Amino acid sequence: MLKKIIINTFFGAAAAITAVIGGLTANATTVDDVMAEARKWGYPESTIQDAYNYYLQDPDSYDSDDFDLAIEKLRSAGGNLITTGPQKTNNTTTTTAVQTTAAAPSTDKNDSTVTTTAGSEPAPEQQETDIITLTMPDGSTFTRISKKDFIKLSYKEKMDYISTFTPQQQQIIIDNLSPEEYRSLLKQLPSDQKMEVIEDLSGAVEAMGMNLTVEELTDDSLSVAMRDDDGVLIGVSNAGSLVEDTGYDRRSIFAAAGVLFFIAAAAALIVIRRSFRNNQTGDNNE
Amino acid sequence: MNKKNSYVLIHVATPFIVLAMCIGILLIISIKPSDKLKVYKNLIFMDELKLNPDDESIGLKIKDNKIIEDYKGTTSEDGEFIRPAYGEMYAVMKSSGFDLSVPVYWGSNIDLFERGACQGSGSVIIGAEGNTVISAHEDTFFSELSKLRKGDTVTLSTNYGEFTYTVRELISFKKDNNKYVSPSKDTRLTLYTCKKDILGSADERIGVICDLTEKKFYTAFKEDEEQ
Repeated sequence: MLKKIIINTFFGAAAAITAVIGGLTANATTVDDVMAEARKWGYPESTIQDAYNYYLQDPDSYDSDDFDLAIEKLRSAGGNLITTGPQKTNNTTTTTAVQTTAAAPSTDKNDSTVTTTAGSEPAPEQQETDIITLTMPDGSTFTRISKKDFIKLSYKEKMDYISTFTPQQQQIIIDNLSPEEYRSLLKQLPSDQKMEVIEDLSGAVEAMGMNLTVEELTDDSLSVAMRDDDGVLIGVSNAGSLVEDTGYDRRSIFAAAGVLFFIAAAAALIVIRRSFRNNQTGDNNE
Repeated sequence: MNKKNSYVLIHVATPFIVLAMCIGILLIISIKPSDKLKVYKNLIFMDELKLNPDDESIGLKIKDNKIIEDYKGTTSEDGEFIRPAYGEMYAVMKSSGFDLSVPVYWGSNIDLFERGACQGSGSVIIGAEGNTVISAHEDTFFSELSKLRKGDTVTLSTNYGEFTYTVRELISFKKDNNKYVSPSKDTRLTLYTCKKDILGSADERIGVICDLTEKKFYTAFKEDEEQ
């Protein structure tokens, strides 16, 4: 269930990108470049389409500076998703989900000259098929777990896993994360970090004379609205569930009707009892 | 005398109470959008003497355009789109499966849903390549959507052209399933609404997927623009 909620949860920047791509685009670079950058960072297609639609409303009003700024902000926000940190040797990265593969690079991380065969415990077949070999600037190589196994990890497990490498190796891993891996990070990002990324992106939007506001932020939904300087709503981007609420919620109406029914029934009962009592009193008097 | 009074009270007051009770229930049920209750509540308690829009509607500029539905000029297979602004009505939908003429707004918002069908800005504009996703309330504009069958046609008239789609598939999906409303590579129209539910908050959605079978861009309009 939790997994389902996470899967259905996009994070703020995914929606905020609508404003960034929509508000910024260029010539030297192209719209396609900005969209490609967004895809690289794992932003959902619907959000990218949303932004592209906004851009198409007035494509002539954007220049190359806008494009460059958009790409810069996307990278900046993407950089907030995951950063390098000090290496932790005693980690608890190995989980049930990736019990065998998560341990693969553990012996490699301190050795900048290791090769793909330097893993200690992983099963032979996983060594051959799942492990990814990355090359350091000096030409040496090291290994990390497969994309599939990385995606399976929780956010904390991902951070713990990355921290088992040296800062330099961490940077190489981060630079080589696939869009799918970034998307999994976007989905799992804690709320406070989501807000940080949104703030980062909204800075670019504000520079363009627009304001970005988070209308709704829950575990499984996010709605970000963009307004111009006059406060006119320019667009709303929903992340998470894209399916609209197309039914009126009548539960409160039925609840109100129920309450009214009981009040009326109670009133009727009181009237009947009172009149019955009066009858008895009348009979006794007679 | 007391006895007589009490009998009168029973026979007169009780039917009135029951009647008031029934009228109250009927009145409440007849107010379809529960949101309107907020307005009545505000009026009754004098909280505010005007509508109090939800946050998401602040700054919403709704624009009702007159849509060309009886175009007699020349048309072509290719043409230019007129991009709508958020909150702008830019199409009218008609179908061989139902009699309604449904206005279509760009963007989705609680106020727009009161006025017609809504197209989320994360889908492609009508007639363009990709997935055009339109939804509306099940008990108003899409109350007859469930009547559509394979082969029925859905025509969307805009001010840049008329586009005819043919129903290919009937769909049913859960609210948390984005499969049908996500962008697609093929050109299609996806229409959906809530499955009918007495409580009105069904998690299940029903709808149709249609293929674009006819494109008619208004060329006379383009010529007028050029002049």
